[in-house]
Amino acid sequence: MTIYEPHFRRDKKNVPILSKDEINFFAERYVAEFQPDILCTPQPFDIEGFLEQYLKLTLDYQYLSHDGRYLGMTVFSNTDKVIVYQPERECAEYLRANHGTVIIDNTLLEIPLEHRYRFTLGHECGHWVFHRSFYGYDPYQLSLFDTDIPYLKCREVNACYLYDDINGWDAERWMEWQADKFAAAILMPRTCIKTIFNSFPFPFSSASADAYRAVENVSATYNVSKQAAYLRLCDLEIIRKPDSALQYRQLSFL
Amino acid sequence: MNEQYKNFGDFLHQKRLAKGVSYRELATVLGVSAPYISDIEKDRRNAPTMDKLEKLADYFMLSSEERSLMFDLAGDKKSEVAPDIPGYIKEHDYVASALRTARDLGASEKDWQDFVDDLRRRKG
Repeated sequence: MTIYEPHFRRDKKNVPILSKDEINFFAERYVAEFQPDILCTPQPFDIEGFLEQYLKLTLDYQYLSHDGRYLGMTVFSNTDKVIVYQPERECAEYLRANHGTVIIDNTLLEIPLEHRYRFTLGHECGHWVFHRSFYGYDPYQLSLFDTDIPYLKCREVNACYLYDDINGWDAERWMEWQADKFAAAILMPRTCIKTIFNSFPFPFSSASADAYRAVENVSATYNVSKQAAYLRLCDLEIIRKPDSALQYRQLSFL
Repeated sequence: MNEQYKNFGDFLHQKRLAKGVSYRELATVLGVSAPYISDIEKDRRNAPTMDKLEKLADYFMLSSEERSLMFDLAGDKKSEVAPDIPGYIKEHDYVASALRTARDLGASEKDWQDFVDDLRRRKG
């Protein structure tokens, strides 16, 4: 099977320039190629299958830190310098990993964290799809310089970035945003979500009972967290975005 | 040893992907963790115990040839004989005795093949 390759613009530093619309479009192309059923029958997206079987990435599980601060990592070039934590020996050590490896922090395998696990997989897929060229992916080269770090470690992003001043964002921050949007778009495809709510008089106000029901519905149908569902519904303008970060934090149902 | 599979981990990896199951799903079937399966697939850990190998064989619906190959690869990883063999020898004293005789007499591959062919003719 040929893997779909999205085409998009890049700035002078090779950082992708992507709008929400483009990310939604690319994500839906992937969904249509890998799991087209989801476009007719609402169901969770098989993100593990997408990563391993469609993108042909290698999945691995390690402790990426001693305190769970890093949720996932994408390895862009062969390296023997991935730093992982060994809880039994209470020390860090180097691990070898090949290009195209996604490492998920072991702490995310606990059942209550399944939503975060799935979102992190989607996020790392986003880095692979959009950013492997920026990070110098070259399967035939170990590393250009000893100082190169051919992988990207990702922390959890605070949802209140909705209210960040984006003028202050650097390239890395934009790429984190792109990976997050890709995760949301592939786990909750735009067309599917729009179809569910087509007959409703949206946008729902940010803290309304309708918003709550919509979030519950999307969270249960697509096996995502309520927070991810809420942000996605705001993005798709089905729920009106809260006016401030404070108002967002005060939403009792998230 | 086998051209299709580099080692036991590779065998498990290919079988798991062919069946389209995730680490987490296979881990649930075997009653182990996903990182444990990942470690085995990446050849960082030995093959699992005999009961889990049997479960794997059933789960992947392996043919008898693939089953034997899986056991051989599992034994290879530990530099031991395939894990389905020691139990058989232990249960049948005469097998150990026959093996020693074959060793002492310097039985060749052909001798063994003749023996197996004869056995097949009578039992098969």
